[in-house]
Amino acid sequence: MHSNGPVARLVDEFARLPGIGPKTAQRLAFYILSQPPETARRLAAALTEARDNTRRCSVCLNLTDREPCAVCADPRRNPEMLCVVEQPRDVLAMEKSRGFRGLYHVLHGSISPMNGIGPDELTVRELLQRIAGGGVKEVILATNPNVEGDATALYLSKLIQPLGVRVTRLAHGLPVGASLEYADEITLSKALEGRRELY
Amino acid sequence: MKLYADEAVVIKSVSMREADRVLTLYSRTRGKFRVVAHGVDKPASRKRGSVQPFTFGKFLLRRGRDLDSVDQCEGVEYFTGLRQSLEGLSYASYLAELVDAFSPEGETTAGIFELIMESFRLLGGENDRLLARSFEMKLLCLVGYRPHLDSCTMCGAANTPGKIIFVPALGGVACRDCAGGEKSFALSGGTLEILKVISGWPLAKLSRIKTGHVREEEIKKALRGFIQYHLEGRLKSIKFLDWLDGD
Repeated sequence: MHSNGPVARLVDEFARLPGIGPKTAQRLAFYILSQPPETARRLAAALTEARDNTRRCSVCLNLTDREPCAVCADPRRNPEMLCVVEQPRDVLAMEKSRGFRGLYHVLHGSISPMNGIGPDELTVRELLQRIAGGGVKEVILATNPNVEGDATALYLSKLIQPLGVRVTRLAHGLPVGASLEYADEITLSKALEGRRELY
Repeated sequence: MKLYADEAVVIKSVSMREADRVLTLYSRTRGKFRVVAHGVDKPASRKRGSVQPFTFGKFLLRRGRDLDSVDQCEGVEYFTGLRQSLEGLSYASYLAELVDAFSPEGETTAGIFELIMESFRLLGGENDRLLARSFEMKLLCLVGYRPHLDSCTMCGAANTPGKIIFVPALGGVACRDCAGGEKSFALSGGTLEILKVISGWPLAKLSRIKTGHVREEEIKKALRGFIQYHLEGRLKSIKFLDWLDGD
């Protein structure tokens, strides 16, 4: 019935989004159509505005609607600590923890020897320029604890250490509230490796 | 039986949907096969650690219509040495891609499983480059592509002293007359001897061989040409290894 019309196009567009299958796409499309026209207009305006006004911050390369981004412009942040993350969504995760008061650098990817993705495809050059600019005393590598994240961290640490900056990596181990009995072996051995003394 | 057990090493992991992964496993009994591991990208997954690439583990698998799925798994060996260096991780990626490319799914080739396990145990040391060359030679021999190195592949003439011509399209070395216009690589007599040695020596003893940069480069180019000729394409991890070597 709607195979070529605007409704089908709307369903197709929803189905392109990650995690949305054809059934969910249909449900979303018909939900939008069942609402007052204002709902659809608001959604369309929000999408267009977000897309048009979002760019990379010139300092940390996170996605932002202002220049520099809110984190980089905040004078209460500690510029001596730089947390390097793979994706903009990792900044959100770190910010939610409220445990970090330094600045960020977003790589927009990770080194993947398996897929032939090298450092030239990430924002490594910008990171090195930032560190060479002075003022950074510690770089925290907050890459994911998987093969790609490990490769990225190893590469960056090799590059940054000769610059006289302290390089650390996020600890690997047991999540809060977990039970030892249900921890997998590699996590447990990493937790054991990274054990620390109690004072 | 819907459930069956196997022990295998993870040679590839590809993200699928939100939190699932398609794993390529290599086991002693079944060779290369693919399975789905559901929910392993979720933070609470108990299987997550054991399905990381370059991990050997025990798997309880459930038969499925298309791909079988991982019901339970337990990591047995994590090859921590290769995870400590960028070279180790990069060469492990390359060797895994090589096995993936040369192994048809569901076909068992004797020796490949042991070759992967031994190589992964040794990677991350001082000798990763030569280990990779030896792995290439041994794998080519196991899958039936052993390069002919003793005499001209075409006319059988003995190798002449000095530069030797290695022609991937002819399956090994060739005399000047037989080489024709095919793409070829020049090898010195010493390099040819090293090629023969690394195909036979145990991987753990490779550190005894002194190759030198020039010979290593000759071997690398010749074997890469040979592999590319037979695979009819370039492997993805080569680009990264070249970058690592500064090429």
